[in-house]
Amino acid sequence: MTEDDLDGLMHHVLMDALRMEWSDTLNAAPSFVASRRFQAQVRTMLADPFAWYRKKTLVPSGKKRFET
Amino acid sequence: MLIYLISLVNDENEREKFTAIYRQYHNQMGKVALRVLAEQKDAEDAVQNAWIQVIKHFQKVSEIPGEELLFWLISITKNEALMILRTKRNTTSFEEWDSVTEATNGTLDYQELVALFAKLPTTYRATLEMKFLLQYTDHEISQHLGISETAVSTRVSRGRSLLRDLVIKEGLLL
Repeated sequence: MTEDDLDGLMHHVLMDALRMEWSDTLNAAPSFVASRRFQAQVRTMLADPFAWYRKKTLVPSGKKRFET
Repeated sequence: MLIYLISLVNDENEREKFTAIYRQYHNQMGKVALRVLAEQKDAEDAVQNAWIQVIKHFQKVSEIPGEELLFWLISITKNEALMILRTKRNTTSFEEWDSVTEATNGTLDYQELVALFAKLPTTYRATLEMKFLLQYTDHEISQHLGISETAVSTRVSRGRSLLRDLVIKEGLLL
């Protein structure tokens, strides 16, 4: 078995482990009802995903200075 | 990378693709986060962090086939939820690799092999999922899980060795 074969098998095993672990929850659990606060965040995210991403992951300039 | 992301997500088609993914999978992601965390606010934080990861890796996401994408998103959401749980408990639990791998003395078929990997210690499994499903670099995994790159390499190496040994020992036909 080559390293690529092994990594391919690992991919399948991990994927099947997730399927085994989560199928019941996905099928049986009640729907996820988001709060109004979260729904508002989602609207902002969907309007412009990258702007939302940039805002969420922005490192404060003060922190940048300390790190350099 | 930044320029690519800007052009990618600013592109109307890509934004529509992102919206379609959101509409199709957000409910399942919420269910996963809620099962791990129980509290609504924490679950919402985990889902939000998962969407941040989706946007960060959007090029990869848009290439993943449909059924795999669901479990890719579950993996991300579950691991974000587990990180919140770990932060809240303010502990890094001792994760015993040997106790899991010692349970492999008997004969295993493929389903038992899958079940064994489902029971791996949390950061081991998270590392393997990030490496082999999400295709994160060791550095990204290290940053994300708050462990050293050496610890990432150890976990990947142990996971590979376990799988290789079991395949050889059990003679699994693939």
